[in-house]
Amino acid sequence: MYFFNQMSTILQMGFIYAIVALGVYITYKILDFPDLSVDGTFPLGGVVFSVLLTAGCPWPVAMLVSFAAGCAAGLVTGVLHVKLKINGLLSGIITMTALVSVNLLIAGGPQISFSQLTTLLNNGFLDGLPRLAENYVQVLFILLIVALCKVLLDLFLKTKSGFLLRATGDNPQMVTQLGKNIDNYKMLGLSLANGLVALAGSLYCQYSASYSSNMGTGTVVIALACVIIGCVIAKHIRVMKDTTGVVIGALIYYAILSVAMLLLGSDYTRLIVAVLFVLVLVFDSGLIGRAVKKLFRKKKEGGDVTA
Amino acid sequence: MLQLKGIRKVFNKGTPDESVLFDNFNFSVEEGEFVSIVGSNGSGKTTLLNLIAGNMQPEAGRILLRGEDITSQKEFVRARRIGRVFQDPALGAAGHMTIAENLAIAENKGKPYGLAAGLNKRRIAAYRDMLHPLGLGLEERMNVPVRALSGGQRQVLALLMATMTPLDVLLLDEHTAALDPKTAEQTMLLTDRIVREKKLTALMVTHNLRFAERYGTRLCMFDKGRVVLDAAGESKAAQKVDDLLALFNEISIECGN
Repeated sequence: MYFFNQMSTILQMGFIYAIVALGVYITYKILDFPDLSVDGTFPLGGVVFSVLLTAGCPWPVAMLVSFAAGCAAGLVTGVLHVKLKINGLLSGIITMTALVSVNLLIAGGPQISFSQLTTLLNNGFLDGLPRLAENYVQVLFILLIVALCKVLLDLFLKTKSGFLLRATGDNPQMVTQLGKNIDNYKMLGLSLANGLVALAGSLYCQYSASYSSNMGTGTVVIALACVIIGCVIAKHIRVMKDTTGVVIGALIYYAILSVAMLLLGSDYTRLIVAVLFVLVLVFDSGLIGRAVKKLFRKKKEGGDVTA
Repeated sequence: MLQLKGIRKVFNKGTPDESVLFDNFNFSVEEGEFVSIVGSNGSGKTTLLNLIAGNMQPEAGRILLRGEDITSQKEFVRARRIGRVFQDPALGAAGHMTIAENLAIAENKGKPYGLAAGLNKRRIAAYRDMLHPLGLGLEERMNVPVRALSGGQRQVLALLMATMTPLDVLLLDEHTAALDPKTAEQTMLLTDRIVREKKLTALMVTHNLRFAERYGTRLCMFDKGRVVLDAAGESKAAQKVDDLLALFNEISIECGN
């Protein structure tokens, strides 16, 4: 029973972070842009959703507005980078820092709670189900949103605009040669990415039936780890799309994180997140693979000598 | 049809290393001309292309294309009328996208890039027909990412992509310099064929004196921001590689290298 409960938590959180990871995939993999504004847009989505919901707005509308708010914040990062020519990393940090205050101002305090209000993950239909079944139906609902985001993103990347977005990260000179302004595509990508991240933020708040101002800390690091794991998986399975890999990567990452948190306690969460990120990066760079190979070779050589 | 008037271009402006490359530089290209430009490093030939393409701004002077002043136009705006192939084959196409996707995106140049399908499946047969005569087997690899191709294949693809849509001027920026001699030869032959078939106006910067002598309708040699040799038509036909090399050595020695 305990296992199934834990499993449903992992699936719910994994799928929520899968949406963040899909957003970060756009900036990190497609645009080749290290966007740190994500740490601010994740709680932005949450706070916008929570404030609207408690003000009586229906949850689907509140979710759409959080998506739009995220898009706007991403656009700010884009404008800082593209129009004011500020370094990409710094543009993200500026937006992220500014959003801390913006989120506080919107929330009017460090916390908002709405456990009695109807949301995607708390409604009459779910209340009628047994506890465990309720958890898994919630998983299903989040999965539906993930699938919607993934399919729409896949479709967009196959359009003419999507082609140009991909080409902008791949070969900006070529986009210029096609008579298009790469600045616009960078802004579009940042905007879409942060819209997805904010949407995930609104889901996170629905999951915990509350908003807390510190929910954003570490989002970038978690999402990047999910993206890197996902792309490694997708690279090794020919038929798998990167976006599918990213969703699976998020699940794997969250499963590992949960186990580590169970063993060490939640005080260690951010430390585990950081250490896991280092491991993912080192693994991705091939450092571990080479070290393991070397070790095996040495052992083999040693064995030959004794023989 | 393409005119550069009174161009002044200074590098490292305002520093002790300041050097004037072009000073009151004038250059014009007629409709349908295929100009080969040779010259030593630092002679200003690539800078000329950069000024025309718009990724470099002159300190003074005007650039006219078909009578329209394009001096203050941004690079991406000018690119709508100007095609360009670079020395680095990686700059010609998007490496993570497939051959078919790259051709599709290039074919759409000049039209809006909206939410229609990026790759029209019905066009693939036409792309195949385009690639088949090249004899590189690219038509069998339509769904292969471009980064998996060799430098020569990428450069040929870049050339096709740059010339798929109507353009006023084609700029070839040492586009065979990074290729092995045989591939360079093939790429040059293809370039010549495309320029003739499409009746393009083209400027080709090259370090290969033989290419400059054999191809094109006009030959220019640059030295320190000046045109030291400008031969078109019959006088171009009379140019021999040995003469060019002699002149080239002369100006190179003058520079002290």
